[in-house]
Amino acid sequence: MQNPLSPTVTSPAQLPLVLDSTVVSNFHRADGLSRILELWSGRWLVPLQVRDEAAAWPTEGKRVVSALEDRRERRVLDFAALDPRNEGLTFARLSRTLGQGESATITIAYHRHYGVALDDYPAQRACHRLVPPVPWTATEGLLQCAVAEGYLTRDQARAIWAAMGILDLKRQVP
Amino acid sequence: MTLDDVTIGARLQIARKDIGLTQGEVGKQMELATSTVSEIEAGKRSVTGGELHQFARLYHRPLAFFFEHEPDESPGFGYLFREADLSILDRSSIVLFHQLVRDYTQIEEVVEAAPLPLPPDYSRFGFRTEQDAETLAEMERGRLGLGDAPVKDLMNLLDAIVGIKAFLVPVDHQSWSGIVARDKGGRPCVAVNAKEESYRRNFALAHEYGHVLAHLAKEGLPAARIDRAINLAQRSADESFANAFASAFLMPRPAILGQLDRVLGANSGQFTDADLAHLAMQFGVSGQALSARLVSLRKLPRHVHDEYGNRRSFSDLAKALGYELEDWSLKPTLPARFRYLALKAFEESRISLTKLAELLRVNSDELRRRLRSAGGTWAEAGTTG
Repeated sequence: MQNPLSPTVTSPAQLPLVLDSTVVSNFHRADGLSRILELWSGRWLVPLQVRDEAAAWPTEGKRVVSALEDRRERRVLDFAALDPRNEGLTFARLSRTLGQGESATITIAYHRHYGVALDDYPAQRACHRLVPPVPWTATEGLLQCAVAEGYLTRDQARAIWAAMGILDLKRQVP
Repeated sequence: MTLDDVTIGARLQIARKDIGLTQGEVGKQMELATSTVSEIEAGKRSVTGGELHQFARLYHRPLAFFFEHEPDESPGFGYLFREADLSILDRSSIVLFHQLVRDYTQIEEVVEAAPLPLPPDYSRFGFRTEQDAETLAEMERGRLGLGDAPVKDLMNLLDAIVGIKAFLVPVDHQSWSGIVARDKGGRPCVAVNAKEESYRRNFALAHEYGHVLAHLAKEGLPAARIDRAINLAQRSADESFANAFASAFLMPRPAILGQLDRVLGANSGQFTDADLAHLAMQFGVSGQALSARLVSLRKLPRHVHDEYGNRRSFSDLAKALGYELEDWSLKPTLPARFRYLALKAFEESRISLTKLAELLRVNSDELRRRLRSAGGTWAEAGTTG
Protein backbone atom coordinates (compact mmCIF):
# COMPACT_ATOMS: atom_id res chain seq x y z
CA MET A 1 0.00 0.00 0.00
CA GLN A 2 1.20 3.50 -0.83
CA ASN A 3 1.63 5.44 2.38
CA PRO A 4 -0.33 8.70 2.04
CA LEU A 5 1.29 10.10 5.18
CA SER A 6 4.46 12.15 5.41
CA PRO A 7 6.74 12.41 8.43
CA THR A 8 6.10 15.44 10.58
CA VAL A 9 9.33 15.48 12.61
CA THR A 10 12.40 16.89 10.95
CA SER A 11 14.95 16.05 13.63
CA PRO A 12 15.32 14.65 17.16
CA ALA A 13 16.98 17.99 17.86
CA GLN A 14 13.58 19.57 17.22
CA LEU A 15 11.82 17.56 19.94
CA PRO A 16 12.62 14.41 21.97
CA LEU A 17 11.52 11.17 20.32
CA VAL A 18 9.92 8.04 21.75
CA LEU A 19 11.33 5.00 19.93
CA ASP A 20 9.33 2.03 18.72
CA SER A 21 10.78 -1.45 18.36
CA THR A 22 10.64 -1.43 14.53
CA VAL A 23 13.14 1.44 14.43
CA VAL A 24 15.26 -0.07 17.21
CA SER A 25 15.48 -3.41 15.42
CA ASN A 26 16.23 -1.82 12.02
CA PHE A 27 19.21 0.12 13.39
CA HIS A 28 20.40 -2.86 15.41
CA ARG A 29 20.28 -5.05 12.31
CA ALA A 30 22.54 -2.56 10.53
CA ASP A 31 24.88 -2.42 13.54
CA GLY A 32 24.03 1.25 13.83
CA LEU A 33 21.78 1.49 16.91
CA SER A 34 24.31 2.95 19.32
CA ARG A 35 25.66 5.25 16.64
CA ILE A 36 22.30 6.80 15.75
CA LEU A 37 21.27 7.12 19.41
CA GLU A 38 24.46 8.95 20.28
CA LEU A 39 24.03 11.47 17.48
CA TRP A 40 21.22 13.03 19.50
CA SER A 41 22.21 11.97 23.00
CA GLY A 42 19.59 12.56 25.69
CA ARG A 43 16.78 13.03 23.17
CA TRP A 44 15.35 9.50 23.28
CA LEU A 45 12.76 7.63 25.32
CA VAL A 46 12.18 3.88 25.10
CA PRO A 47 8.93 2.55 26.62
CA LEU A 48 9.21 -0.57 28.80
CA GLN A 49 6.92 -2.36 26.35
CA VAL A 50 9.37 -1.63 23.53
CA ARG A 51 12.22 -2.98 25.64
CA ASP A 52 10.12 -6.15 26.19
CA GLU A 53 9.50 -6.51 22.47
CA ALA A 54 13.20 -6.08 21.75
CA ALA A 55 14.04 -8.68 24.40
CA ALA A 56 11.67 -11.15 22.75
CA TRP A 57 13.66 -11.06 19.49
CA PRO A 58 14.85 -14.69 19.50
CA THR A 59 18.33 -14.25 18.03
CA GLU A 60 19.27 -10.68 18.94
CA GLY A 61 17.09 -9.83 21.96
CA LYS A 62 19.85 -9.97 24.57
CA ARG A 63 22.21 -7.84 22.52
CA VAL A 64 19.60 -5.18 21.77
CA VAL A 65 18.52 -4.89 25.39
CA SER A 66 22.12 -4.76 26.53
CA ALA A 67 22.81 -1.94 24.04
CA LEU A 68 19.75 -0.04 25.24
CA GLU A 69 20.63 -0.48 28.91
CA ASP A 70 24.20 0.59 28.31
CA ARG A 71 22.98 3.77 26.57
CA ARG A 72 20.60 4.39 29.43
CA GLU A 73 23.44 4.26 31.96
CA ARG A 74 25.25 6.82 29.86
CA ARG A 75 22.10 8.99 29.75
CA VAL A 76 21.86 8.74 26.00
CA LEU A 77 18.28 7.51 26.42
CA ASP A 78 15.83 6.79 29.20
CA PHE A 79 13.25 4.07 29.67
CA ALA A 80 9.70 5.26 30.18
CA ALA A 81 6.67 3.72 31.86
CA LEU A 82 3.10 4.75 31.19
CA ASP A 83 1.35 6.93 33.73
CA PRO A 84 -1.60 4.61 34.44
CA ARG A 85 -4.06 7.27 35.58
CA ASN A 86 -3.47 9.88 32.90
CA GLU A 87 -2.33 7.80 29.97
CA GLY A 88 -4.14 4.47 30.49
CA LEU A 89 -7.25 5.21 28.44
CA THR A 90 -5.29 6.41 25.41
CA PHE A 91 -3.13 3.30 25.61
CA ALA A 92 -6.20 1.03 25.88
CA ARG A 93 -7.79 2.65 22.82
CA LEU A 94 -4.64 2.41 20.70
CA SER A 95 -3.85 -1.14 21.72
CA ARG A 96 -7.04 -2.44 20.10
CA THR A 97 -5.29 -2.13 16.73
CA LEU A 98 -1.61 -1.57 17.54
CA GLY A 99 0.98 -3.63 19.39
CA GLN A 100 1.82 -2.94 23.03
CA GLY A 101 5.09 -1.21 22.12
CA GLU A 102 3.58 1.03 19.44
CA SER A 103 0.65 1.90 21.69
CA ALA A 104 2.96 2.85 24.55
CA THR A 105 5.23 4.84 22.21
CA ILE A 106 2.39 6.94 20.82
CA THR A 107 0.61 7.31 24.17
CA ILE A 108 3.70 8.62 25.94
CA ALA A 109 4.49 11.03 23.10
CA TYR A 110 0.89 12.25 22.93
CA HIS A 111 0.56 13.06 26.62
CA ARG A 112 4.08 14.42 27.14
CA HIS A 113 4.30 16.37 23.86
CA TYR A 114 7.15 14.41 22.29
CA GLY A 115 7.53 12.96 18.82
CA VAL A 116 7.80 9.30 17.85
CA ALA A 117 9.96 7.23 15.54
CA LEU A 118 8.05 4.27 14.15
CA ASP A 119 7.75 2.43 10.85
CA ASP A 120 4.39 0.73 10.71
CA TYR A 121 1.71 2.44 8.61
CA PRO A 122 -1.28 1.84 10.96
CA ALA A 123 0.81 3.29 13.81
CA GLN A 124 1.72 6.37 11.73
CA ARG A 125 -1.94 6.78 10.81
CA ALA A 126 -2.85 6.61 14.52
CA CYS A 127 -0.41 9.48 15.15
CA HIS A 128 -2.20 11.59 12.52
CA ARG A 129 -5.64 10.81 13.88
CA LEU A 130 -4.97 11.90 17.45
CA VAL A 131 -5.95 15.46 18.35
CA PRO A 132 -3.54 17.13 18.37
CA PRO A 133 -1.59 14.78 16.07
CA VAL A 134 1.62 13.21 17.34
CA PRO A 135 4.66 14.29 15.28
CA TRP A 136 6.41 11.26 13.83
CA THR A 137 9.29 10.12 11.73
CA ALA A 138 10.49 6.72 10.49
CA THR A 139 13.82 4.90 10.18
CA GLU A 140 14.76 6.60 6.90
CA GLY A 141 13.71 9.96 8.33
CA LEU A 142 16.33 9.64 11.08
CA LEU A 143 19.02 8.82 8.52
CA GLN A 144 17.98 11.81 6.42
CA CYS A 145 18.23 14.06 9.50
CA ALA A 146 21.67 12.70 10.24
CA VAL A 147 22.76 13.60 6.71
CA ALA A 148 21.06 17.01 6.79
CA GLU A 149 22.73 17.88 10.08
CA GLY A 150 26.13 16.75 8.88
CA TYR A 151 26.53 13.72 11.16
CA LEU A 152 26.62 11.22 8.33
CA THR A 153 27.58 11.44 4.69
CA ARG A 154 24.98 10.39 2.14
CA ASP A 155 27.03 7.26 1.40
CA GLN A 156 27.25 6.32 5.07
CA ALA A 157 23.47 6.70 5.46
CA ARG A 158 22.89 4.60 2.34
CA ALA A 159 25.22 1.90 3.65
CA ILE A 160 23.34 1.74 6.95
CA TRP A 161 20.02 1.65 5.07
CA ALA A 162 21.24 -1.16 2.81
CA ALA A 163 22.40 -3.17 5.83
CA MET A 164 18.90 -3.03 7.31
CA GLY A 165 17.64 -5.22 4.48
CA ILE A 166 14.35 -3.34 4.07
CA LEU A 167 12.87 -4.69 0.85
CA ASP A 168 10.28 -2.01 0.24
CA LEU A 169 11.45 -0.15 -2.86
CA LYS A 170 9.18 2.79 -2.15
CA ARG A 171 11.24 3.54 0.94
CA GLN A 172 14.77 4.78 0.54
CA VAL A 173 17.37 7.23 1.72
CA PRO A 174 17.94 9.85 -1.01
CA MET B 1 -10.05 11.81 30.47
CA THR B 2 -8.31 10.05 33.32
CA LEU B 3 -8.72 6.84 35.26
CA ASP B 4 -8.97 6.70 39.01
CA ASP B 5 -6.97 4.55 41.38
CA VAL B 6 -10.07 2.64 42.52
CA THR B 7 -10.84 1.46 38.97
CA ILE B 8 -7.26 0.37 38.31
CA GLY B 9 -7.01 -1.23 41.77
CA ALA B 10 -10.20 -3.22 41.21
CA ARG B 11 -8.90 -4.53 37.87
CA LEU B 12 -5.61 -5.50 39.54
CA GLN B 13 -7.52 -7.43 42.17
CA ILE B 14 -9.58 -9.28 39.53
CA ALA B 15 -6.42 -10.19 37.60
CA ARG B 16 -4.66 -11.40 40.76
CA LYS B 17 -7.58 -13.59 41.76
CA ASP B 18 -7.92 -14.94 38.21
CA ILE B 19 -4.34 -16.22 38.31
CA GLY B 20 -4.83 -17.53 41.87
CA LEU B 21 -2.21 -15.55 43.78
CA THR B 22 -2.54 -14.09 47.28
CA GLN B 23 -1.55 -10.50 48.02
CA GLY B 24 1.35 -11.89 50.05
CA GLU B 25 2.62 -13.99 47.15
CA VAL B 26 2.39 -11.01 44.81
CA GLY B 27 4.20 -8.78 47.28
CA LYS B 28 6.98 -11.31 47.58
CA GLN B 29 7.43 -11.66 43.82
CA MET B 30 7.37 -7.90 43.25
CA GLU B 31 9.34 -6.98 46.37
CA LEU B 32 6.44 -4.97 47.75
CA ALA B 33 4.89 -5.17 51.24
CA THR B 34 1.63 -7.10 51.33
CA SER B 35 0.01 -3.95 52.72
CA THR B 36 1.17 -2.01 49.64
CA VAL B 37 -0.47 -4.54 47.32
CA SER B 38 -3.62 -4.28 49.42
CA GLU B 39 -3.59 -0.46 49.32
CA ILE B 40 -3.08 -0.44 45.54
CA GLU B 41 -6.01 -2.81 45.03
CA ALA B 42 -8.22 -0.70 47.30
CA GLY B 43 -7.32 2.44 45.34
CA LYS B 44 -5.68 4.01 48.39
CA ARG B 45 -2.29 4.23 46.74
CA SER B 46 -1.56 4.96 43.06
CA VAL B 47 0.21 2.24 41.14
CA THR B 48 3.23 3.46 39.19
CA GLY B 49 3.73 2.69 35.51
CA GLY B 50 6.70 0.45 36.33
CA GLU B 51 4.70 -1.49 38.90
CA LEU B 52 1.77 -1.91 36.54
CA HIS B 53 4.15 -3.24 33.90
CA GLN B 54 5.33 -5.85 36.44
CA PHE B 55 1.79 -6.68 37.54
CA ALA B 56 0.78 -7.27 33.92
CA ARG B 57 3.61 -9.76 33.43
CA LEU B 58 2.91 -11.55 36.68
CA TYR B 59 -0.82 -11.82 35.98
CA HIS B 60 -0.38 -12.82 32.29
CA ARG B 61 -2.58 -9.94 31.14
CA PRO B 62 -1.99 -7.22 28.56
CA LEU B 63 -1.64 -3.75 30.06
CA ALA B 64 -4.94 -2.57 28.58
CA PHE B 65 -6.75 -5.09 30.83
CA PHE B 66 -6.20 -2.74 33.77
CA PHE B 67 -7.66 0.30 32.04
CA GLU B 68 -11.10 -1.04 31.24
CA HIS B 69 -13.87 1.11 32.65
CA GLU B 70 -16.54 -1.47 32.05
CA PRO B 71 -14.98 -4.88 32.53
CA ASP B 72 -16.26 -7.46 30.07
CA GLU B 73 -16.44 -10.23 32.65
CA SER B 74 -18.76 -12.91 31.34
CA PRO B 75 -20.78 -15.07 33.72
CA GLY B 76 -18.98 -18.09 32.27
CA PHE B 77 -15.44 -16.95 32.93
CA GLY B 78 -16.48 -15.31 36.19
CA TYR B 79 -17.72 -18.71 37.33
CA LEU B 80 -14.56 -20.44 36.10
CA PHE B 81 -12.26 -18.13 38.02
CA ARG B 82 -14.35 -18.34 41.17
CA GLU B 83 -14.80 -22.07 41.08
CA ALA B 84 -11.41 -23.11 39.79
CA ASP B 85 -10.08 -23.79 43.26
CA LEU B 86 -6.44 -24.13 44.15
CA SER B 87 -6.40 -27.78 43.11
CA ILE B 88 -6.25 -26.39 39.55
CA LEU B 89 -2.51 -25.96 39.55
CA ASP B 90 -2.27 -24.30 36.19
CA ARG B 91 -4.60 -21.33 36.43
CA SER B 92 -2.53 -19.39 33.93
CA SER B 93 -3.90 -21.74 31.25
CA ILE B 94 -7.43 -20.58 32.12
CA VAL B 95 -6.26 -16.95 31.98
CA LEU B 96 -4.75 -17.69 28.56
CA PHE B 97 -8.03 -19.20 27.36
CA HIS B 98 -9.91 -16.13 28.61
CA GLN B 99 -7.43 -13.82 26.89
CA LEU B 100 -7.72 -15.73 23.60
CA VAL B 101 -11.49 -15.41 23.72
CA ARG B 102 -11.20 -11.66 24.43
CA ASP B 103 -8.75 -11.22 21.54
CA TYR B 104 -11.03 -13.17 19.21
CA THR B 105 -13.97 -10.93 20.08
CA GLN B 106 -11.82 -7.83 19.66
CA ILE B 107 -10.63 -8.80 16.18
CA GLU B 108 -14.21 -9.64 15.16
CA GLU B 109 -15.13 -6.09 16.20
CA VAL B 110 -12.15 -4.52 14.40
CA VAL B 111 -13.01 -6.15 11.05
CA GLU B 112 -16.76 -5.94 11.71
CA ALA B 113 -17.08 -9.66 11.00
CA ALA B 114 -20.52 -11.07 10.30
CA PRO B 115 -21.63 -12.90 13.44
CA LEU B 116 -21.67 -16.66 13.40
CA PRO B 117 -24.88 -18.53 14.13
CA LEU B 118 -25.25 -19.75 17.70
CA PRO B 119 -25.27 -23.53 18.15
CA PRO B 120 -28.68 -25.04 18.84
CA ASP B 121 -29.72 -25.40 22.47
CA TYR B 122 -31.09 -28.83 23.33
CA SER B 123 -31.03 -28.32 27.07
CA ARG B 124 -34.84 -28.44 27.30
CA PHE B 125 -35.18 -31.64 25.30
CA GLY B 126 -34.56 -33.75 28.37
CA PHE B 127 -31.71 -35.67 26.72
CA ARG B 128 -30.20 -37.87 29.41
CA THR B 129 -29.38 -41.41 28.34
CA GLU B 130 -26.62 -42.75 26.12
CA GLN B 131 -29.29 -43.54 23.53
CA ASP B 132 -30.34 -39.87 23.66
CA ALA B 133 -26.69 -38.90 23.07
CA GLU B 134 -26.62 -41.18 20.01
CA THR B 135 -29.78 -39.50 18.73
CA LEU B 136 -28.38 -36.01 19.34
CA ALA B 137 -25.13 -36.89 17.55
CA GLU B 138 -27.11 -38.15 14.53
CA MET B 139 -29.20 -34.95 14.56
CA GLU B 140 -26.10 -32.77 14.63
CA ARG B 141 -24.39 -34.72 11.88
CA GLY B 142 -27.55 -34.40 9.79
CA ARG B 143 -27.85 -30.67 10.50
CA LEU B 144 -24.22 -30.09 9.52
CA GLY B 145 -24.44 -32.28 6.42
CA LEU B 146 -21.60 -34.53 7.54
CA GLY B 147 -23.14 -37.83 6.47
CA ASP B 148 -21.18 -40.73 7.96
CA ALA B 149 -17.74 -39.47 7.02
CA PRO B 150 -14.98 -39.12 9.63
CA VAL B 151 -14.60 -35.56 10.93
CA LYS B 152 -11.21 -34.33 9.78
CA ASP B 153 -10.89 -31.02 11.61
CA LEU B 154 -13.27 -30.82 14.52
CA MET B 155 -11.79 -27.65 16.04
CA ASN B 156 -12.50 -25.61 12.91
CA LEU B 157 -15.85 -27.30 12.29
CA LEU B 158 -16.95 -26.20 15.76
CA ASP B 159 -15.49 -22.75 15.37
CA ALA B 160 -16.55 -21.72 11.88
CA ILE B 161 -19.68 -23.80 11.27
CA VAL B 162 -21.24 -24.74 14.59
CA GLY B 163 -20.48 -21.37 16.19
CA ILE B 164 -18.50 -22.56 19.21
CA LYS B 165 -15.18 -20.74 19.55
CA ALA B 166 -12.60 -23.47 19.97
CA PHE B 167 -8.95 -23.39 21.07
CA LEU B 168 -6.16 -25.75 22.02
CA VAL B 169 -4.45 -24.43 25.15
CA PRO B 170 -1.32 -25.98 26.70
CA VAL B 171 -2.09 -27.05 30.27
CA ASP B 172 0.54 -27.95 32.85
CA HIS B 173 0.19 -30.77 35.39
CA GLN B 174 -2.80 -32.11 33.43
CA SER B 175 -4.85 -29.67 35.51
CA TRP B 176 -7.78 -29.96 33.12
CA SER B 177 -8.71 -31.65 29.86
CA GLY B 178 -11.52 -29.47 28.64
CA ILE B 179 -13.34 -26.28 29.52
CA VAL B 180 -16.51 -24.78 28.19
CA ALA B 181 -17.64 -21.26 29.07
CA ARG B 182 -19.85 -18.57 27.61
CA ASP B 183 -18.15 -15.33 26.61
CA LYS B 184 -19.55 -11.88 27.32
CA GLY B 185 -21.83 -12.12 24.26
CA GLY B 186 -23.18 -15.49 25.39
CA ARG B 187 -21.30 -17.49 22.75
CA PRO B 188 -20.02 -20.88 23.92
CA CYS B 189 -16.24 -21.22 23.87
CA VAL B 190 -14.30 -24.43 24.41
CA ALA B 191 -10.66 -25.17 25.08
CA VAL B 192 -8.95 -28.51 25.34
CA ASN B 193 -5.46 -29.39 26.50
CA ALA B 194 -2.97 -28.90 23.66
CA LYS B 195 -0.54 -31.18 25.49
CA GLU B 196 -2.66 -34.26 24.78
CA GLU B 197 -2.26 -36.41 21.68
CA SER B 198 -4.40 -35.31 18.73
CA TYR B 199 -6.88 -38.17 19.07
CA ARG B 200 -7.47 -37.36 22.74
CA ARG B 201 -7.94 -33.68 21.90
CA ASN B 202 -10.51 -34.66 19.27
CA PHE B 203 -12.48 -36.67 21.76
CA ALA B 204 -12.24 -33.91 24.37
CA LEU B 205 -13.52 -31.34 21.84
CA ALA B 206 -16.46 -33.56 20.93
CA HIS B 207 -17.13 -34.18 24.63
CA GLU B 208 -17.29 -30.42 25.34
CA TYR B 209 -19.46 -30.01 22.22
CA GLY B 210 -21.93 -32.43 23.83
CA HIS B 211 -21.94 -30.32 26.98
CA VAL B 212 -22.61 -27.15 24.98
CA LEU B 213 -25.58 -28.70 23.19
CA ALA B 214 -27.20 -30.45 26.10
CA HIS B 215 -26.05 -28.89 29.36
CA LEU B 216 -24.63 -25.39 29.09
CA ALA B 217 -27.97 -23.60 28.93
CA LYS B 218 -29.69 -25.86 31.47
CA GLU B 219 -31.52 -23.84 34.08
CA GLY B 220 -29.79 -23.73 37.42
CA LEU B 221 -26.44 -24.84 36.01
CA PRO B 222 -23.42 -22.52 35.75
CA ALA B 223 -22.44 -20.90 32.45
CA ALA B 224 -19.16 -22.84 32.44
CA ARG B 225 -17.71 -26.22 33.31
CA ILE B 226 -14.25 -27.64 33.81
CA ASP B 227 -13.49 -31.27 33.00
CA ARG B 228 -10.44 -32.27 34.98
CA ALA B 229 -9.93 -35.51 33.08
CA ILE B 230 -12.15 -37.03 30.45
CA ASN B 231 -12.13 -40.79 30.86
CA LEU B 232 -14.36 -43.34 29.31
CA ALA B 233 -15.63 -44.67 32.62
CA GLN B 234 -17.28 -41.43 33.72
CA ARG B 235 -19.80 -41.91 36.49
CA SER B 236 -21.85 -38.70 36.44
CA ALA B 237 -24.84 -38.68 34.12
CA ASP B 238 -23.78 -35.49 32.31
CA GLU B 239 -20.24 -36.76 31.76
CA SER B 240 -21.42 -40.16 30.53
CA PHE B 241 -23.80 -38.37 28.20
CA ALA B 242 -21.02 -36.13 26.85
CA ASN B 243 -18.81 -39.20 26.32
CA ALA B 244 -21.57 -41.04 24.50
CA PHE B 245 -22.24 -37.99 22.34
CA ALA B 246 -18.53 -37.62 21.50
CA SER B 247 -18.29 -41.30 20.66
CA ALA B 248 -21.36 -41.29 18.43
CA PHE B 249 -20.46 -37.99 16.75
CA LEU B 250 -16.90 -39.01 15.92
CA MET B 251 -17.74 -42.64 15.11
CA PRO B 252 -21.19 -42.76 13.49
CA ARG B 253 -22.85 -46.13 13.84
CA PRO B 254 -23.35 -46.90 10.08
CA ALA B 255 -19.77 -45.97 9.22
CA ILE B 256 -18.26 -48.04 12.04
CA LEU B 257 -20.45 -51.04 11.29
CA GLY B 258 -19.70 -50.80 7.58
CA GLN B 259 -15.95 -50.58 8.14
CA LEU B 260 -16.06 -53.41 10.66
CA ASP B 261 -17.88 -55.66 8.21
CA ARG B 262 -15.28 -54.93 5.56
CA VAL B 263 -12.38 -55.72 7.90
CA LEU B 264 -13.98 -58.89 9.18
CA GLY B 265 -14.84 -59.96 5.65
CA ALA B 266 -11.28 -59.47 4.47
CA ASN B 267 -9.73 -61.17 7.53
CA SER B 268 -11.96 -64.26 7.77
CA GLY B 269 -13.70 -62.92 10.85
CA GLN B 270 -10.50 -61.91 12.68
CA PHE B 271 -10.19 -58.44 14.23
CA THR B 272 -6.71 -57.70 15.53
CA ASP B 273 -5.20 -54.86 17.56
CA ALA B 274 -3.72 -53.54 14.32
CA ASP B 275 -7.20 -53.49 12.74
CA LEU B 276 -8.47 -51.61 15.75
CA ALA B 277 -5.65 -49.05 15.57
CA HIS B 278 -6.11 -48.63 11.83
CA LEU B 279 -9.84 -48.04 12.20
CA ALA B 280 -9.34 -45.69 15.15
CA MET B 281 -6.92 -43.56 13.16
CA GLN B 282 -9.42 -43.32 10.31
CA PHE B 283 -11.90 -41.73 12.71
CA GLY B 284 -9.33 -39.66 14.60
CA VAL B 285 -9.88 -41.37 17.95
CA SER B 286 -7.87 -43.60 20.28
CA GLY B 287 -8.00 -47.38 20.19
CA GLN B 288 -9.60 -47.20 23.62
CA ALA B 289 -12.37 -44.91 22.36
CA LEU B 290 -13.00 -47.13 19.34
CA SER B 291 -13.13 -50.32 21.39
CA ALA B 292 -15.54 -48.62 23.84
CA ARG B 293 -17.67 -47.66 20.83
CA LEU B 294 -17.65 -51.25 19.61
CA VAL B 295 -18.82 -52.36 23.06
CA SER B 296 -21.69 -49.87 22.95
CA LEU B 297 -22.62 -51.18 19.49
CA ARG B 298 -22.50 -54.73 20.91
CA LYS B 299 -19.74 -55.74 18.57
CA LEU B 300 -17.06 -56.35 21.20
CA PRO B 301 -17.37 -58.02 24.61
CA ARG B 302 -16.63 -55.57 27.46
CA HIS B 303 -13.83 -57.74 28.90
CA VAL B 304 -11.95 -57.51 25.59
CA HIS B 305 -12.23 -53.73 25.75
CA ASP B 306 -11.07 -53.74 29.38
CA GLU B 307 -8.08 -55.91 28.50
CA TYR B 308 -7.19 -53.78 25.51
CA GLY B 309 -6.21 -50.80 27.59
CA ASN B 310 -3.67 -52.86 29.52
CA ARG B 311 -2.32 -54.76 26.56
CA ARG B 312 -0.73 -52.27 24.20
CA SER B 313 0.21 -48.67 23.78
CA PHE B 314 -2.15 -47.33 21.16
CA SER B 315 0.19 -44.57 20.02
CA ASP B 316 3.12 -47.00 19.64
CA LEU B 317 0.97 -49.32 17.58
CA ALA B 318 -0.37 -46.48 15.43
CA LYS B 319 3.18 -45.27 14.81
CA ALA B 320 4.29 -48.81 13.95
CA LEU B 321 1.48 -48.87 11.37
CA GLY B 322 2.98 -45.75 9.79
CA TYR B 323 0.60 -43.12 11.14
CA GLU B 324 2.17 -39.79 11.92
CA LEU B 325 0.67 -38.69 15.19
CA GLU B 326 0.57 -34.95 15.56
CA ASP B 327 2.78 -33.97 18.48
CA TRP B 328 1.36 -32.23 21.48
CA SER B 329 1.99 -28.56 21.54
CA LEU B 330 3.49 -26.08 23.98
CA LYS B 331 1.76 -23.21 22.19
CA PRO B 332 -1.92 -22.46 21.93
CA THR B 333 -3.58 -23.30 18.63
CA LEU B 334 -5.98 -20.70 17.33
CA PRO B 335 -8.95 -21.52 15.13
CA ALA B 336 -8.56 -20.80 11.41
CA ARG B 337 -11.31 -18.15 11.43
CA PHE B 338 -9.52 -16.19 14.17
CA ARG B 339 -6.25 -16.29 12.19
CA TYR B 340 -8.07 -15.38 8.98
CA LEU B 341 -9.79 -12.35 10.54
CA ALA B 342 -6.51 -11.17 12.09
CA LEU B 343 -4.67 -11.47 8.78
CA LYS B 344 -7.52 -9.74 6.96
CA ALA B 345 -7.33 -6.86 9.47
CA PHE B 346 -3.59 -6.62 8.81
CA GLU B 347 -3.99 -6.75 5.03
CA GLU B 348 -6.54 -3.95 5.21
CA SER B 349 -4.11 -1.93 7.39
CA ARG B 350 -6.60 -1.95 10.26
CA ILE B 351 -4.01 -3.41 12.63
CA SER B 352 -0.23 -3.21 12.72
CA LEU B 353 2.20 -6.07 12.26
CA THR B 354 3.09 -6.18 15.96
CA LYS B 355 -0.62 -6.33 16.84
CA LEU B 356 -0.99 -9.22 14.40
CA ALA B 357 1.98 -10.94 16.04
CA GLU B 358 0.45 -10.44 19.50
CA LEU B 359 -2.87 -11.88 18.34
CA LEU B 360 -1.23 -14.89 16.70
CA ARG B 361 1.13 -15.41 19.69
CA VAL B 362 4.23 -15.34 17.50
CA ASN B 363 7.35 -13.22 17.54
CA SER B 364 6.91 -10.13 15.36
CA ASP B 365 10.32 -10.42 13.72
CA GLU B 366 9.67 -14.03 12.84
CA LEU B 367 6.21 -13.13 11.53
CA ARG B 368 7.68 -10.32 9.39
CA ARG B 369 10.11 -12.82 7.86
CA ARG B 370 7.34 -15.33 7.19
CA LEU B 371 5.09 -12.74 5.56
CA ARG B 372 7.93 -11.46 3.40
CA SER B 373 8.78 -14.93 2.21
CA ALA B 374 5.09 -15.43 1.35
CA GLY B 375 5.59 -12.59 -1.13
CA GLY B 376 2.84 -10.72 -2.98
CA THR B 377 1.11 -8.02 -0.96
CA TRP B 378 2.94 -9.23 2.14
CA ALA B 379 6.43 -8.69 0.73
CA GLU B 380 6.67 -5.32 2.45
CA ALA B 381 5.08 -6.50 5.67
CA GLY B 382 5.42 -4.20 8.61
CA THR B 383 6.80 -1.23 6.78
CA THR B 384 5.50 2.08 5.65
CA GLY B 385 4.37 1.98 2.06
